[in-house]
Amino acid sequence: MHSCNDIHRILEDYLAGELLPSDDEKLKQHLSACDDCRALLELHEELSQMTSEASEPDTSALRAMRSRVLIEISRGGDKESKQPPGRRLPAVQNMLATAAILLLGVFVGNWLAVPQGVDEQLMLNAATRQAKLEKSLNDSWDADLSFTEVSVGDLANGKFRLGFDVCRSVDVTTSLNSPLAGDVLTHAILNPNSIGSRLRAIELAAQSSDPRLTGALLATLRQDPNPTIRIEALAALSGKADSEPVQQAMLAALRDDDSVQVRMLVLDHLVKQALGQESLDAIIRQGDQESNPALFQRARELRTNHEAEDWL
Amino acid sequence: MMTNKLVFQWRESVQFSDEYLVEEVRGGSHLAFGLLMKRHERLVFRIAMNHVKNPDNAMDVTQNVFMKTHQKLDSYTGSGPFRAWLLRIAYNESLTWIRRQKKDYLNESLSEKNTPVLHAVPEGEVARKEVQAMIQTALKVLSAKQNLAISLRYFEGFSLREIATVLECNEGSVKSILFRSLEKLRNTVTFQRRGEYAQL
Repeated sequence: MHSCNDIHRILEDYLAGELLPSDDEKLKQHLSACDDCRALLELHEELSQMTSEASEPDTSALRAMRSRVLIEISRGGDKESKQPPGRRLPAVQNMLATAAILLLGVFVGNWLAVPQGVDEQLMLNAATRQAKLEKSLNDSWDADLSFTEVSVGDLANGKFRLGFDVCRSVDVTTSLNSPLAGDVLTHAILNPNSIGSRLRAIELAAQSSDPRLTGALLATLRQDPNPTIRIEALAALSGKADSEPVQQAMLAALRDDDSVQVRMLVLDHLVKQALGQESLDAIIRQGDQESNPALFQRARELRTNHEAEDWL
Repeated sequence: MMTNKLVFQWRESVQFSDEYLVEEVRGGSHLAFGLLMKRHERLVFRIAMNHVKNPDNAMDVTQNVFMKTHQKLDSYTGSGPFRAWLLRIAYNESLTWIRRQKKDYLNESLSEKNTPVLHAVPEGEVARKEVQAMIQTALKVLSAKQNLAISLRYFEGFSLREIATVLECNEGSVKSILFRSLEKLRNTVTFQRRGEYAQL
């Protein structure tokens, strides 16, 4: 058997996650006979499953720390700091810092509380003013602009092309039919990552007359992989069923949707919307073509009811 | 059009790399430095906590770390990851804090109020029988460097290369430090277990 010293390098490799395949057998043999080394590896496995016991810092304390540092470095204090490490800023400086943050909060709050009628250009202007506002924004990290998808062109004559997406958090009060609301809710409906926001946006879209929102609902009904979302889109569209595109989308859903539940609800919606005989016949014809007996039966019932009402 | 690319949604932080933000800070951007702080402050705090063992003191150390980071940013060459370089500063600042506390401790009277809590093993914790609790206790016998290596490796998921940058050594030395640390932990845990059996 190899001694622990012989196996030392192999153990180091193992602990570092770099065990060579050729050493695997040698290590197994040694471990089968050495309690100490086996205990070492058990400890390694145990540690790998542990999390640090160090407590997480308080968020507000971190924020305050960040503010103190930024105020200090904006004054150049870090370059020739006479502050003994381990001490916070003096009380007066803390008060000044707090006052600055409060004033800044009012300023940034006003800036972010965009009034009604704001357009996208204002958002873009805000981005280009970033450098000017930077100093004032130091304490407002949670409401910052952020830039993604940055692309940079070659520098020539001191200028270069700069492309980016700009993201920022915005909190506005606006009307349902405003262009901004139309934009944002359209994004929300078509964003597959947030079901909660989508459902809320779909609910609001039902009450909006914005054609972009109707378009987003139609696209959702036609293409969304989640039947729950399609059903919500269908419900939102039911109030707009007098529009030709909506009727066409519903007929298409009745014909093509892979969810029986969606197809049944489409059928109900179309009948509730009191479509003309021609449209109802179209529905029933589609129903006749379906192999699903429940749908076919429902279509027959609806036709019978409709004919009975006509006769009466 | 650019306006079509506007995205209205909550974002926690930008997607810029650390190195890009460092360049921005060198160009005078405080905004970029704020983003760097926000990105790494919890990690720095945890590392400080590992050494100073007290949240208020760890927050003070964290503040000093970022002050020093900004001050020394010109010396960051970019040869290694920024966060490893940052943690090197965090490690040094933590040691400075500990040394100062020890010095204060020696200079002042041995009142309970001024007794540093460094490496204190709370009573009762040793008596706990769970293996993980024993390991947590055993971690306190490691040296500052060993403790940092273990924390970065097992709790923060650092690579050997990053740990090597933080500890200013090569990867072979990191392996050796990790091995020695585990040996020390194993011996301590074994000792704790024997103590338990002796009490039974």
